[in-house]
Amino acid sequence: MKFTVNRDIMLKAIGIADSVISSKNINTILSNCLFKIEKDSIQIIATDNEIGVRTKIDAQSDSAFSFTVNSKKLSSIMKELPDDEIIIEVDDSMMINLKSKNVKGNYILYGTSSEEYPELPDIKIDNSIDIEQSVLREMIKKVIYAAATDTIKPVFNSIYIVSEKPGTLTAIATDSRRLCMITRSIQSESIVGEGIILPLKTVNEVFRLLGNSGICRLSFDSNQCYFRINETEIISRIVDGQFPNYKQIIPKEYSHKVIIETGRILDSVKRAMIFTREPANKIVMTIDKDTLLIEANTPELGKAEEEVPVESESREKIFLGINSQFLLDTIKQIDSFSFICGITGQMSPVTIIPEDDKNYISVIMPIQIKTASE
Amino acid sequence: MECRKIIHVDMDAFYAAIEQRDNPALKGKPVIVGGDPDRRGVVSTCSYEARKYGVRSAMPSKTAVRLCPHAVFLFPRFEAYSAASKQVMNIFMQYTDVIEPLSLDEAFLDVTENKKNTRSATLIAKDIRREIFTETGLTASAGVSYNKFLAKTASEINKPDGMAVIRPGEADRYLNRLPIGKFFGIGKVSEKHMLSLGIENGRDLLNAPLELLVKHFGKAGRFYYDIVRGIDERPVEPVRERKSWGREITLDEDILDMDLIRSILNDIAAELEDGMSRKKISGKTVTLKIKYHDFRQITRSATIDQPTHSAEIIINEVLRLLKFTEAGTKKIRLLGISLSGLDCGNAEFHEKQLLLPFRECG
Repeated sequence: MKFTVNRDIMLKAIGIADSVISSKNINTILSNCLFKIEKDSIQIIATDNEIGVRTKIDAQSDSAFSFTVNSKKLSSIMKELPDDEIIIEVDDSMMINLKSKNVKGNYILYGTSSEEYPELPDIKIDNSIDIEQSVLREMIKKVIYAAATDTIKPVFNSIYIVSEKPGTLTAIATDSRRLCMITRSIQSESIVGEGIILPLKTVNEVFRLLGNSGICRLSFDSNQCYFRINETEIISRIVDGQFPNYKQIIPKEYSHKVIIETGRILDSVKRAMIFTREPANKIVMTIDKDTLLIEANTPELGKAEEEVPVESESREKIFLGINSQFLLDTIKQIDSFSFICGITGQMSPVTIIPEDDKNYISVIMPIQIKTASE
Repeated sequence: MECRKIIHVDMDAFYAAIEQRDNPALKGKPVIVGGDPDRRGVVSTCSYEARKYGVRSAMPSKTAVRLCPHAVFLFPRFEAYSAASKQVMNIFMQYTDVIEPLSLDEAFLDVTENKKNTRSATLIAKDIRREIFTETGLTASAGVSYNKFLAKTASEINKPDGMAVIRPGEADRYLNRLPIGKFFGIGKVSEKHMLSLGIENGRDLLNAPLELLVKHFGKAGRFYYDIVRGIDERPVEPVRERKSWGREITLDEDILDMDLIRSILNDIAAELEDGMSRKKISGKTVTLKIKYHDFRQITRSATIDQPTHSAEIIINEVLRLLKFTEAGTKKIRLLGISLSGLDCGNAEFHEKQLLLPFRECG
C-alpha cells in the first residue's frame, strides 16, 4: 500500500487535525490521527470525542486503506525531508515508511490499524446557513474574549449563535460578569431560529480556519453542529442547556451617556492597570461634566490617576469601580474613533457601544466599592 | 552558637480522642473516624484501642471494619477538630510566636526565647501538655530537643500521653537503634531503598558514607547524613503567607477502583471547603495530584474564573481532570487536591465583582 502526497499540503492538514488532539490524551488511540487513503485523496481525521475534524487533500494512491499514527512525529519527520513530494508506504503490520527522492534512507513510524479509531458522527443536515468567512471571523473575534475560560458552567464556556431577525446572525458570549453581542447581516435565506450554543473549544478551532474570503457553511441539529470551511469539516457536539436571557440585562437607557475617544482611553486604562492587582484589577472611573478621571490605588504597590476629556450631557458627578482588564478587552475590539459609554449606577451594568457600529454591544458589571467614607 | 530549644507537640489520636471526649460512652472503646466503609472511604484517625487490632490511618474503612468489627465508626467533624486545634494553638502562643503548625494536630515550637522567660524547654513542654489537657480534655505527646528532627523523634518515644527529651550528646543513644523507616523524611520508598543498601537502623545510617547516600538519594542523602549526626539546622518557620491550600492522602494500599478514588476525592474536597471557608480563602487554580504505584507523580490543573472554595466546584473540576490521568488503569497510592491562586476573603469583600443580573433560566 503506497501513496504520494505534497509535503506542505499534507503538513497543513495534519496541523489542522493536530490542534484538536488533547495533549492529555496520552497513550490512547486519540493521540493519533486517522488517515483514510483513497485512490486520489486522503482524509486526515482527528477527534477528542467532543470535536472531530476531517480535512480532505489530493494524493495518488495504489489502493484504499487506512491507518493511525502519531501526527506530531509524522509532521516532524515530513518537515525535515527536503523534497516537495513524499512517498509513504504502509505494510500490513502498519509500519509507515516515508521516502523522499533526495534522501537515501528509511523513516519508519509504527502506526496502528484504524479499527479502534472512533467514527466521526454523521450529521443529518436539516438546517444550514452560509456565511462569509470574514464576517464570521469578525463576529467571533469581537465576542470570544467575554466567554468564560473555565468549564464550570458550559453555557458560559461557549458562544451563542442565533438569528434574531431573518437575514441576520447574532453571536453572544458572557462569563456572567460581562457580556458581548454582535449582529451582522448574512446572505443566507435560512436562519438559526432556535439558537445554538457552541463550545468555546469548537469556536477556537473554527476561528483558526476562517480566512478573509470564501464561505463557511454551518449546519446543525439539536445535538451537533457541523462547519465546512474550505477543505476541512468540523463536527462538534453543541452545549446542552439554555443560554442566559441576555436581552433582559442589556440596559435600554442610562443616566449618564458619555462619548469617549477609543485610542485615548485605551492608553489611559493600560497605564492605570499597572497599578492594580489581580484578580479584581480595579480602577475607579469618575465622570464629572466633561472629564473622566481614571484612578488606581493598590496599597503596598502605588497609585495612578489620569484625566481624559470626554463628552457628557449629564452634569451630575458619578463614579464606579470596574475591572480594568475587562474594560481593556472590550475597548481593544472597537474599530470606531469613539464609543458611547452608558452608565446608570455603581451597581448597574456599564454599556459600551462603538459610535460607528450600533450592532456591537458590550456590557460590563462594575466592582462594588466601599463608599462609606464618601 | 547557643543551642536552640525546640518542642514538637503531637496530639494523640486527635480526631478519635475528640470523639471520645465529646461522647464519654466511647471512652476506652475502639473508635474509627473516617469515610463511609460502604462507600469506600478511608480511615482518618483511630483511637489507640482500635490500633491494637491493626487499624491504621489511610487504610480503607472497609478493611478497618473487618479488622475491628466492633469498633465505633464515625464520620469526621472537622468543625470540632479545627476548634480544638485553635485552642491548642492559643496555648502555644502564650509561650512563643515561633510556631510552625504541620497540620491540625501537630506543631513545632521554638522556645529558645520565650514569653515566660523560662530557661527550661522541658518545663515549658510539661506546662503545655498540662494546659492542653485542662483546656481541651485531650492528651498530647511532646518531644524536646535542640533541633526539629530530634524533637519530632523524641515526641514518638513515649507516645501516647508522654514526653521525652533528647539533650545534646544523647542523640546517638536514641538514633542508633531507631529503625530506618522511623527517620523523619524516610517514607516507604526510601525505607525500601535503604534496606536494600543494608541500612536498617540509625547505626547503619551513621556508618554509611556521604557519597553513597548522595548517590542514592540525591539532596536528601545529605539531609539523612546530617540528621543521624544530630545536625538539623532547619528553622522553625512560623506560618508563611500561604501560596496554596491543599490536602493529600497516601493510601494504605494502592487502588484501582474508580468509585473509591472518586469517593476519596470527594472527602478531600469537603475537607478543603471546610478549612477554606472558615479562613475565608478562595482559590482559582484547582490541582489534582496523583502518585501511581510506581511512584511516578503527576499533577493536572485547571484554572477557573472566579475564586472558589466550594466543594462542589472543586470536585467537578477534579473529576474532569481525573479523566486526563491513568486513574482506573494504573494503581494509585496517593491522591491530593490543592487550590492555588489564593484570594483572601477581605479583599473580596472590599472589591466585589458584581454579576450580571440574569434571571434564573429553566
